[in-house]
Amino acid sequence: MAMSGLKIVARSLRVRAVSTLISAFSVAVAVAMLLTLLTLSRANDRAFEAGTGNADLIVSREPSGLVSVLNTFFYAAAPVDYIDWATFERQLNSPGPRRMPPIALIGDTGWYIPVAIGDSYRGRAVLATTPEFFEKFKPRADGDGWSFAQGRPIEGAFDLVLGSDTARATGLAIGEIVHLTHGAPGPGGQLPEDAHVHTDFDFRVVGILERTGTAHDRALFSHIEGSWRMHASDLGDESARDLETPVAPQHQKVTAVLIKAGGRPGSTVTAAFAPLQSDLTRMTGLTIANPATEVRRLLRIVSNIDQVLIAMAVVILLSSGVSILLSLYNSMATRRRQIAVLRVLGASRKRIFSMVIAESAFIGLLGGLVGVVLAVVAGGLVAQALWMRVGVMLDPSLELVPVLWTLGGTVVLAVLAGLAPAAVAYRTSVAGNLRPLV
Amino acid sequence: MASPATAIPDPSKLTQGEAVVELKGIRKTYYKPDGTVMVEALKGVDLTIRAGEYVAIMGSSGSGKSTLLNLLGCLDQPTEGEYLLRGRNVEAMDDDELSAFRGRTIGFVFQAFNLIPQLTIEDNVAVPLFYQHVDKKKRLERAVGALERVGLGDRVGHRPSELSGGQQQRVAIARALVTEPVVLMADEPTGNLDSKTGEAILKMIEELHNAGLTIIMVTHDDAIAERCERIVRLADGLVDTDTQLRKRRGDPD
Repeated sequence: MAMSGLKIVARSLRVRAVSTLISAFSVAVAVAMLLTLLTLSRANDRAFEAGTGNADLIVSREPSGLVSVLNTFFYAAAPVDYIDWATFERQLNSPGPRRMPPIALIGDTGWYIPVAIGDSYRGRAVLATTPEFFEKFKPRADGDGWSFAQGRPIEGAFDLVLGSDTARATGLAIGEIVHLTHGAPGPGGQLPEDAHVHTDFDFRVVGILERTGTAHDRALFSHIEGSWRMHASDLGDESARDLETPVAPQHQKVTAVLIKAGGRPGSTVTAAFAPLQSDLTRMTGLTIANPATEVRRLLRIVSNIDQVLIAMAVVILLSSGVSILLSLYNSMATRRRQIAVLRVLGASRKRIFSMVIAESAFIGLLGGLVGVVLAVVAGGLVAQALWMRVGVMLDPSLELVPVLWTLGGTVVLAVLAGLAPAAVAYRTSVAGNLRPLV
Repeated sequence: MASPATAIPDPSKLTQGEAVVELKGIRKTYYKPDGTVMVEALKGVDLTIRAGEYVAIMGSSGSGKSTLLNLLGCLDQPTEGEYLLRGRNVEAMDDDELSAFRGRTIGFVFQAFNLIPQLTIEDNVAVPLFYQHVDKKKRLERAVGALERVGLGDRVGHRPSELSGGQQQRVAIARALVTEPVVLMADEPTGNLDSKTGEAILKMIEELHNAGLTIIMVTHDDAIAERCERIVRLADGLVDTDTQLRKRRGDPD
């Protein structure tokens, strides 16, 4: 439409600025809700899917595989029970149901890495592990391995590596000494009753990781040997302080073991970890789960809630369409005169019809655009809140395709909402609406 | 004040004495929603107005003069009868055609000015050209030109509300003339104005007539009607009297 037509539309919208803005705002809120939910639900899925890294199996004594995944990869809570590391390694090397030890299924290309969670530093969980964790385990299923912003991985028993967010939040630098607290924080960062600070063991910061976009960014990483020695000493075993003496087997406790099944050459990974999972389950009686399967199970539960929320957002969007309809419909009563004048000046009924549709579409577009801006802000806030409270790192940036679909849908909805008022305008009698005077 | 004479359409478009409007047996009946007759506003009107005429339409309220003006302006459809505007049967045209044809042929001036308050006066004047698909630059040129012709060249950029009533009516006249119509239909054009400004508006309309424009003016004021060349008086939905006060401009002596 040419300029003067748009000018009439724009001016007429400005005259009814309050009702235009209310309509546009209701559209904006609905669009923002819809986009935020769509974006965060996708980002949420992706964050959970990527967040378990490249481990095929997780072994734990948790009540379920899902709990072990949430506790180990997302630091939801400290595991309640532990695995005896020496026993587990022995089982791994014992002949299994297949008349070969499970270690054979792990093969040369696979690995198994112990982790222990239970200590914390300033409300952040410490994951005790071995140097292999930084060589072989990848924090993101869809990404590369670890990389260090500064320093190096753990080597010595009391080395400490910081996740990127931990480094930023604590301000700790390479070479600083810290004392860990016994007890891992709950989801809100609060510590258990029996928390105490291990002041007699100095951990030295040796490395700071680059951001990975996973919950590991909020953690600290220590050498599992240091953790074993510290807890052995807590229990009164003073020999554990001597780094030359190996840690007694009864103190070698881990909360989970991460396993990558290499399999035999030529076999697929899927084929490799399934028999390993069943053998280990039978041999150890531990909880053995595939992280990807557990995450999918979790997301299936959550996606039902997502769908309900998205359906609600769509209903709100539809009701904002009704608000456009009512606002324009009501304005028709006061605009009969102006419509009649435009008709007298040469506007055909079709022109009048499309003028009202253009107004409606404009309200929809304005609301949609404001909604996109709101969604960016809201997405950022929600992502930040989730990060602070749950430790799940979401990428709140909007994707172009859903944004375009939502904007397009909003304009179509606005056009549909404009049909009834436009029909009223179309039928407005010219003769009947010119005369009414003063 | 600049002479409005230059606003007159190219006379080559019209032959002097050509019938501009021709009404044949026009009836207009309004119905109640239940289909029964509410009022018979026009009961069979025959009327021919030729190019260059200056006609007053009079009648008491309820005589049908408003209905007649609406029909003449193609703002409403007759129930029965035939209306030829410049020889073309308006009933045979669809809404698009009729809107375009009416826009080119008739300029309207109303008692209530009917300007669009949100637009500047030049944008107001340009609106009819917009609907005739004149491009933006030309539109504005012609609108400013029309405003200059009614003596408002210095008020360009203002909103109607910043102007006096007489000035607003001049904007309305500029808007009616900007399309270079064949007929100017004026509905009580001085009804909202004091006598002094009303007189100025009438003078302007008379100058337009002198320059050849066909004028049809609805009025209830005898003094104003007396200034026209011809008075058509309606009563009870019919032409009661049709008086030629003086010879038509351009007719031989």
